[in-house]
Parts: sequence; structure tokens; C-alpha cells
Amino acid sequence: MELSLAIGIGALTASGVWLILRPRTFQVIIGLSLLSYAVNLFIVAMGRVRTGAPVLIAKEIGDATKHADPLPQALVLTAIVISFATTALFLVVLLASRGLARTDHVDGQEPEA
Amino acid sequence: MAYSTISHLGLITLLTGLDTPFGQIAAIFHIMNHATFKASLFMAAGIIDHETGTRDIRRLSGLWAFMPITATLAMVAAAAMAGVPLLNGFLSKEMFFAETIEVHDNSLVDQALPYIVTLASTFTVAYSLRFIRDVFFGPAPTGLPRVPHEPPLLMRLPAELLVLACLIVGVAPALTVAPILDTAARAVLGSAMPEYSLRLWHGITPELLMSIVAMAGGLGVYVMLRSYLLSHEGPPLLGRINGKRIFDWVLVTLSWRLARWLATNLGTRRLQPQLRLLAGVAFVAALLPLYARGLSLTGPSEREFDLVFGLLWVVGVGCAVGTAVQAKFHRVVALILLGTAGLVTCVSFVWLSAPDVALTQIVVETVTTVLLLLGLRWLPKRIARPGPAEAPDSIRWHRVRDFSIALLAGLGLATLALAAMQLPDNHSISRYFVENAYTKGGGTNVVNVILVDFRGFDTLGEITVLAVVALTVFALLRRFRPAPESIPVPEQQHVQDAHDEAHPDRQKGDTAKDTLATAALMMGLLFPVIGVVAIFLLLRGHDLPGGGFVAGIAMATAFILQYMARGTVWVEARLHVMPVRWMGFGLLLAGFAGAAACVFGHPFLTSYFAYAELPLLGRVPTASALLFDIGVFSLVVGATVLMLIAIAHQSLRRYGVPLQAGQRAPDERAKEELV
Repeated sequence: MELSLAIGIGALTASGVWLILRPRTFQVIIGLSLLSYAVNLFIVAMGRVRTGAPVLIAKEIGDATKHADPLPQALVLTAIVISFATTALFLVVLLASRGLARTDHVDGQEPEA
Repeated sequence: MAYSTISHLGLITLLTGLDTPFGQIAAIFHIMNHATFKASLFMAAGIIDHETGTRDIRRLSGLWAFMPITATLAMVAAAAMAGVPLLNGFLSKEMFFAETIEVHDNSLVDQALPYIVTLASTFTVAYSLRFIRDVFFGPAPTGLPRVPHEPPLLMRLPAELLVLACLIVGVAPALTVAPILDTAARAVLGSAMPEYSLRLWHGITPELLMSIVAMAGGLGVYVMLRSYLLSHEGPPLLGRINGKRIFDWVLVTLSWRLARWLATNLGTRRLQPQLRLLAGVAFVAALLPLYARGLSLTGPSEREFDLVFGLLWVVGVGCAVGTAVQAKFHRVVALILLGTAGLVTCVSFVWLSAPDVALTQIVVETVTTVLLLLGLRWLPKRIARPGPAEAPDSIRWHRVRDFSIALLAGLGLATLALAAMQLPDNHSISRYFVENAYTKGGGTNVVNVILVDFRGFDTLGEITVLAVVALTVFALLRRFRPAPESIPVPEQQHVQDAHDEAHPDRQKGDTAKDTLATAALMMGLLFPVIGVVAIFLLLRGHDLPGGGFVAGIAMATAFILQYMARGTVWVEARLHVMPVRWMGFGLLLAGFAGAAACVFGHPFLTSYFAYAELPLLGRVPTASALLFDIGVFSLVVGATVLMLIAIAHQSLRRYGVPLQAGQRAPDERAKEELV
């Protein structure tokens, strides 16, 4: 279980890092999305793997240690929304840069060969 | 004289630095004395400059004959500076000497201190002597711009008063300055006032001997250096060091040469090296502590292998790698694979007992995909050129290097995640939230309670960021100029339009309408359903998975579906969304819900909750956090719709086609509706 998740996080990270190092803007935006999946999963995994753990609390407090860790979840919820916002912003910058610079290279100009 | 001020300020700092009550008193006393004699000396210098036209000590001499009163004043003040008995400078200097002898911490500096201060005092005597001797005595001055004479009375009076103060404080300290000094010292020291006495004569003490040595030494130094000083600019040895030049040199070296060297050797304007560096630094930063502390990959909480979860991640890994491969030439394929990887992530969240996160992930995934699809319209196709099969060596090398970095990063994070997941869980601060979510926040969904209550301020900041981003996207797109290749209508639309125009019974755009007819009908019917789901998610958020974010994005999806199915023109003829007002309302409501707590005397964003019995709906939580969540909801709807519609509107604009007089551009009409 942990191993599958760890391999998954690793694959998402590797693909993401590979893409953000590519020279084309679209590759970078996709790479950032993949990286954000990896990081979000990583953060939730920091609350330890608990399958089927209670998420909602009963009105009388039971054993808090059996509960799924809510803190990383709240953090990741925020991170998802923020990464949506940055993706949108980056997309528009990407489009504007493509229109202005006539190239989709990340530096706004083709590298000198 | 300015340099002597620096030396006296050094003396005061040293006294304060000795950190004894007596030292503080002496420091305060010397501040007062220094102010008195130095002010009168500066006034004397001003008088001399005014009357002779120069302040150059090498050109002045023999002024005694011309201005005896000024000369007397300056002499008394200089004597006070040198620490001659019967003047105020003597008293504080003696206290200073006494302190350097009394205070001990047995360091080398401490033992040398009495000798160092005696030496410093020697130089004080020497420069005071030089000032008096060179300016007022000797042959009559030659070649002065003006013939000197005594200044008018009013010009002399301030200096006279100050010198008088030097004298009477020096002669009778206990009668004059003691009460003032006492007040000042009490203000600094508070209750820790030591016993001290301001007296002229303490008997033959070491400090008196030090004073005598300094006087005699100063005289000697002056006599020895006199001829040198008359012929040279600046002091011996030290005079070769030019402070201004050093300052300039340091400034130029640091701010220009070093900066330029760093910029040329380490800096780059290119993004890729920067990101490579970033990835490298992140890797090393994670590796170092692990290397130091060790890492264990087998822990107590090992869980058995889950086949379905494993298969899920086979798909996930495949999609991630596929995305990486396809992102260059097949963007739509990459987008589909990215979406699938997102879905796998989402399912994993469900597996990891995080339903709230999974809900948010799936709706955000949806709008992100729509957003990127809309953006693809303006990104010209990149077609693989049938060039030489082998890339040049430099590019191959780049790829190998980047591949290694990516592999290392992936391996590193996977190892770290595996190790961390197997550590025993100590629950740290999460426990507090679980235990207090219901009693203090009034909700059973701990994640939501954290977002709208415990960490409400963060959420307020976050939705503000979202609003700012949405407005930035909108503003950037107003002046958007797409790539020239993207301006003509897409090929597919072109074919459809040609088909429509070829048939007399069809209108332009009919094919697109027909293709989407079923979908459009369904999406139209779904609109109220999605709306209800959104409100349901919003209301139950405090107790069950849901909340303002999810609900807001779900609502935005309802709007954007209509745009996709029927086209921008059709929707906006029937529906006025006005996203900016949604955003404004949301931000104000969230702020108001927080500020309402202040009215009742609680800190900002303190929430209040109760349960109300409503007909039909039953028990409904009416926490003030719900108001806050409605604000979040409204803002998220507005921001998401604004961004998506702003991109969608680009298709309505006509680029490079000049408008005729009186004709309104279609985009202007569209823009007004947004606001």
C-alpha cells in the first residue's frame, strides 16, 4: 500500500520535474500540474496512510488518534485551489507570451544554435 | 574638531559598554560636558572662520593679538576637552579613568584598558594643544582673506555662556550639575543608583596619576610632531589611509564589480538553468538532513499490499510518464493523460480517508482541464519536423542531464514518502483540531472547521489571492494579442462553415449546433441540478464533506457547461453572470462575517454557532462560519467564471480587423457584461 503510493508520488514527481525543465511553455504548465499532484499526495501521506479511518467526528469525542489526520487535508485543500489559480495565471501569461514573442520557448526567444 | 567628537563619542560608548551603574553615570555626565565644551569650541571655530575667512589651521596663527576674548574662550574650552583640572572635562575624565581601573573581567582588553585610555587621553591633550598653539600664538597671520578682529557681542555671547558653564561645573560640581545629573541617571538606571560623589579632589588616586601622565605625554607628543604637522597634510602613518577613497573602493567593488562578476558567472536570464538549479538545491536540501540523521525504510506500520490500489497506480504512473512524453507535440493527448493522472490522485485521496480533498480535487480537475482546453485554441500547433533522426549532441546531453535530475527527484521524493509513511504517527497538533472541532467550531467535518474557523484568516487570504489572480487574468486578456497563426478560425470550424454555406437551407454555424444538440439539451437541464448540488455541498460543508470551495467550483462548472454547449453569444443573450459582482460580494461577506465578531468584542474571525430547527430542512447549523463559507462560495464562483469566460471571449474578438465608425466591437459588449 505505502509502496504503491510512494512509487506513484515518485513517478508524478519525475515526470513533472522532467517537464518543467523542457523548453516549451505548454510542457512547463503540464509539468507544474503533475508536480502539484505529487506534492499534494505527499502532504496528505504525511498524515500517514489510514484507509477507512473516520473523517467526521462524533459529537462525543472518541479516540482522536484513530481519526484521519485533518490538518494535512486542510492544507492540501488550500493548495489545490491555489494551484488552480496559478495554473490559470500561467496559462494566460503563456498565451500572451506566445502572441508577443512569436515563439513558445520559455525564454521568449529561440535559443541561438 | 569633528574627529575629536568621534573620539569623545567613542569614550562615551566605551563607558556605556562597561555596563556598570557608575559607568552609565559617567557616560551621561560626559555627554553633558562634551556638549558644553564642544559646542563652544565649534562656535569659536565659526567665529574664526567668520572673521578671518578660513578654517585652515595651517594658514592661521597669532590670532591672540587680534581677538583676545575669543582666544580665551577657545582656550578654556580646549582645556576642558583636554581634561585640565578645574574644568568640567576633568571631572568626567577622572570618572572614566576610575571606571577602567575598577571594572574587570580579566580579559586581555580589560587589563590593557587603563593604558589604552591614558594613551587616548594623551592624544586628546596633544590635539587640544595644537589647536590653541597653532591658531592663537606664533607670528601674525599672512595672506588671510580678511583682517581679523573681535566679533560682535551677540556672536560671542553663546560661547561665553557655555565656557562659563564649563568653569563653574568644573569648580563646583556638587552645587551646579549634581541635581541634573542625578535626574538623568535615575531615568536611565531606575532604582539601581549607586553611591557616588562629584568632587574635585579625591586625593592622590591612580586616575589622577593617569591624568598627569596624559598631560605630560600630550605635551611631549605635540612638541615632537609640531614641525611635521606644519608641513604635512593629515596625521603621520594614518594620513596615508584615505577614508573617502576606501569607502568609494568598497562601494564600487561590492555593488558593481562583485555584482557584475556574480551576474556574469552565476546569473542567467534563461528559465531552464534557473529551474535546474532550483531542483538541484531542493534535492540537496532534502538529502543533507537525511544523510545526517539516517533513514529507515521499514517501520512498524507496514500495511499489506492492496492489489486494486497497486493497479490504480500502474495506471497513474503510466499516465504521468505518458504526459511527460506527449506534452511537446500532442497537447490534447497530454491533457487527457494529465486529467487521468489527476483522477488517480483523486481516487487515492478517497483511499487515504480524505473525502474533502478528493471532492475538491475532482471539481478543480474539471475546471483546470476546461481552462487548458480553452487556452489550446490560442497556442499554434507544434508539428514534429521530419528532420534528422538524431538530435545534435548538445541537445542529447541536455536531455540526459534533465532526465537524470528528474529521475533523482522522483526517486528522492518516493523514498522520503515511503520512509515518512512508515514512521509511527504522533498526531502532533492535529489532535487539538479533532478534539475541539465540535465543541469550539460547532462542526463535525474537522477539515472544513479548520478552513473556515480555526484557520479562517488563512482562508480569507487565500480567497483574496484567488480574486487577485482572476482580475489579473481578466486584465491581461483585455490587451491580449494572439499569435498570428492562431487568428484565423480553426480548420475544423472552417470546414463546417464551408459545408453550411454550400447548402442553401443551412445557416452558418448550424453544423456545430447540430453536433452538440443532445449535449446542449442535457447541459441545459443539468444547470438547475448542478446549482442545487452546489448549494447542498455548501450547506452541509460544516458537518459533512463539502464546503464553500467545492460548492463554488461546482456552481462555476454549471455556468461554463452552458457556455460550452450553446456558445458565448447564446448564453449571454439569456444570462447575465456578472462574475465581478459575485467576487466583490463574496469578499465583502467573508470580511463582514469575520468583522461581526469584533462588534461583540471577540477577535476578528471568531465564529459563533448554534443549531436552528427549520421546517422541512430539520436541524440546520447556523454558525457564523456558514456566512463566511457563503462568502468563499460566492468569490470562488465569481473568480472561476471570470477566468473561464475571459478566455472564452477571446474567440469573439476580431483581431486586426479595423472597426467601422459607430460599430461596436463584439468584445466590448461582452466585457461590459462581465462587470
